[in-house]
Amino acid sequence: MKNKKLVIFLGVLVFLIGSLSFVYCDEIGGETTGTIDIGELIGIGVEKIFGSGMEYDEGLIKDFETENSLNINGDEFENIIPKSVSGNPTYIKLEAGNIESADITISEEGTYTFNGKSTPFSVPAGSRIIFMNNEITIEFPDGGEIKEFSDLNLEETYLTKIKGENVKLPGEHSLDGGDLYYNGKLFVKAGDEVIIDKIEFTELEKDVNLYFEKDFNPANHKDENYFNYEKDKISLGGYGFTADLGTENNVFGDMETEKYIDGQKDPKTRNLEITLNGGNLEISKDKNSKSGLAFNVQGNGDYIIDNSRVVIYSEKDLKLEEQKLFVKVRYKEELTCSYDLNFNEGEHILESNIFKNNKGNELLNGNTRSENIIHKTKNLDKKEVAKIKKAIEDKLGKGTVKDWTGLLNEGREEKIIKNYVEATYSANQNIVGTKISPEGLFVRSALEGVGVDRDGYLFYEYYKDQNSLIPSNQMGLDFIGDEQHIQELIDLKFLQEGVEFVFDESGDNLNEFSQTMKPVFFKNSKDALTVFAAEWAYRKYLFERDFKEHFGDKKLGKITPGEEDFWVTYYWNSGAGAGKGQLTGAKYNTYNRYGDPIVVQGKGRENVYGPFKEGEWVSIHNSRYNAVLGEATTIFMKAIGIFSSP
Amino acid sequence: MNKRGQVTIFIIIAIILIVAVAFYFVLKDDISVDKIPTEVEPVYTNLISCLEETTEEGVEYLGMHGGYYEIPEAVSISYFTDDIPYYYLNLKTNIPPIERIEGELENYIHNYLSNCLDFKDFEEQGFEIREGDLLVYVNINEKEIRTKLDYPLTISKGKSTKRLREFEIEIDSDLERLLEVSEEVVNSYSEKPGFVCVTCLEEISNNNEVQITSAPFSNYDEESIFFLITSPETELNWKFAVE
Repeated sequence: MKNKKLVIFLGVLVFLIGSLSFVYCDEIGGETTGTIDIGELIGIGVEKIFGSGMEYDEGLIKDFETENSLNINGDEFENIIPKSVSGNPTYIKLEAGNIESADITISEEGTYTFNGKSTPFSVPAGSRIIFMNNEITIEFPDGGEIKEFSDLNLEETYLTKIKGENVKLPGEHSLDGGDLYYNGKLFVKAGDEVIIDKIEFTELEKDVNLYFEKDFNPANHKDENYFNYEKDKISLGGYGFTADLGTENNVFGDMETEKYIDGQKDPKTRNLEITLNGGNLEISKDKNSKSGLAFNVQGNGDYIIDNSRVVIYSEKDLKLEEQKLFVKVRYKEELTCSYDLNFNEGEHILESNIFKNNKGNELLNGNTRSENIIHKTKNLDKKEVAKIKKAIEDKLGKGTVKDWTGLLNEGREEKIIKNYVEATYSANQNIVGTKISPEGLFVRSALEGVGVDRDGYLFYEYYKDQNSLIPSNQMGLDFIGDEQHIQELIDLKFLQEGVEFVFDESGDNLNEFSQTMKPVFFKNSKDALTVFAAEWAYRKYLFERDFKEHFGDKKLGKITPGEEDFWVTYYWNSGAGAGKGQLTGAKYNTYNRYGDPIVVQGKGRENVYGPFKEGEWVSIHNSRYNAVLGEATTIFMKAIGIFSSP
Repeated sequence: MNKRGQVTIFIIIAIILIVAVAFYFVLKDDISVDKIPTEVEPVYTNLISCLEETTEEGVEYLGMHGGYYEIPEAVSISYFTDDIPYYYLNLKTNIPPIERIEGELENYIHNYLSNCLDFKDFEEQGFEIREGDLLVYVNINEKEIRTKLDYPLTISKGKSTKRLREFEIEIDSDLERLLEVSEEVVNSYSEKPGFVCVTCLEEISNNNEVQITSAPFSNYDEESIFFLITSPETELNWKFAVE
């Protein structure tokens, strides 16, 4: 009986101790299992493969616990994060005592060895390591870093794929997206897309080796595709790959890549894309460039450089053993800006969109029309301009040439100039065959205060606030409130559909003939100029019609453009009736300055058209003065050739 | 031979002499430029300088319009009010031959000569000028252009009446050379349409001592390239487009 009690006592004691130790273990670290000798289990020998904190089942080491330790043929695996924490598949698969494949995520930095070959660098904590088909893939956590690559060769390591979006590479370089490979040296694999130092590699037909060497010698890399990063310099060579320098690359990172233009919400960005088709290039920052936006390009063989606006194609003419450079301009809806390129130590220069040789000859002018107008205006020879102005004024009268070129010389005016160009084109679509010149349109609009008025830019408010409305009567379009007239402009295709008129139904405007008109506003400068051009062309059409009727078709063909501008300005200023009367010498009805109707005898072409003489009434109310002003200033604009094709 | 026969011979000789003398007096005024009668010299000088001016203006105009005064619409592109001819269109070369350019310049001069020819002033000075039909002949050579007018003018002042008919001037011009350079540029372009071979332009430019600028141009629905060839010697410009 005593023995029975003793057995029960001991049993209860063992149970209590067991229970207590179980509770204690739970408190200090969770479930523990003992060491599993997998080597013994699979019959390859004791302690060949052993570990704790995981499970082994039919060749698969899995279910890693928080505390785990594993030794496979002498190689340690520690700090493997449990699947429940990493969210990644977590296992090591064995085959005949070796690792067949593995997928582990690690909590501590370290070098990992699979079947005797190690990762080529210390893998940072949080990385996922996948070993499969004798390749290692390492998925880096955000901000993960490779401090240095080991000197291991392919005998000692595996082909290693580095994946990640913000992986720090040795020497302050970075992998910003895509897959990078290491096999003793770093390379990008054919067909992949990868971003390194914010430089994007695309359309790779062959692998491209990457280097980060100072004093890189391309001659040592003739038979490979290569790309070397240096401070402010890249060297690349080979066949069939494209490198896009992007807008924030680390190599030339301090270059201004964006340009804001007044009146535009989004900046224009600069970019440089290089494709190699069997050539080599060295591209470095041109430290002497005034703009700070230029690259020196040393190139050989076949390559393409696209600076967003102009594409340079270099082709080696094997028959002639000569380098040929071809240029193609890229047309884009939205204007972009570009880097300047200085080829082969100044042999050729791409400055903005103008390609020159070292003698300063402009071989290609790839500017848009508005850019060209600004470019030409900025580069006007002041002495030459003064000479032209004087010659015109000697002929047509002192003070008759207004130099409005200052309205066409700033980047912020680019959009307005583009509107001039497009407005001229739009008005010239008319079905009656009347053609206006951009010079004539510009001069008339500037004289009407479209460009400037006493308060500065009429469009200035528009630059600042794109929602501000532009009043037509401040542009000399006080008669445009007549809806019938608008319809006529549309019917004759002086005005194309789509322009928005904002009528102020409540208000009244008096036009120059004291007639009541609805005030009209435009929503933007483009619409405003388009309507202005339509009306200017319409007035020219009225003049041409009257002239042909009175003097005959043949004589119209012989009239000088200057006289034509004179009369169209006259028609614009005084109205078509007065214009016709003065042109033909007929009587016409008009109003005096008090708004009373009067009849005026026209003087006839030969008495009205002519230079402005000393002593004549200098006033904007003098139509002849305005007409000579229009004629002389338009001749001036044409003579300095700002709007003419390059 | 009888007396009647002798008289007939004398009469024939006399008629021949009279006709010859009459011909001499009728034609002596327009036999040669060197022998311009002093009375009509102002009219002659005015016409010659006007012809020179119009020819020079015409050459300048033709240069800026690829050799045309009136460009066939089907082969031209408009840049605002300027029409520029295509020298390469639909993969075909389309350069006007020199004879065509001569004809275009003839038309230009025919049309614009009257702009500077002002007979009114002479009429105020007592001249009476009657004009016949104007014919213009242009001959473009390597270094010069010759313009000849067949323009019968009968000029009377007081009792004197003189006739002028042929007028000829010669101006220095390398138009023909610029046309040849254009051909080289178009040939180079046709090797890779759509692209400008800037090194080729440079070579052509160096070999011919001209300046060449290309200007790609997008006109809404069409893309073209303008070429401007400039002779630094004569400052003549030659402009054309390619598609």
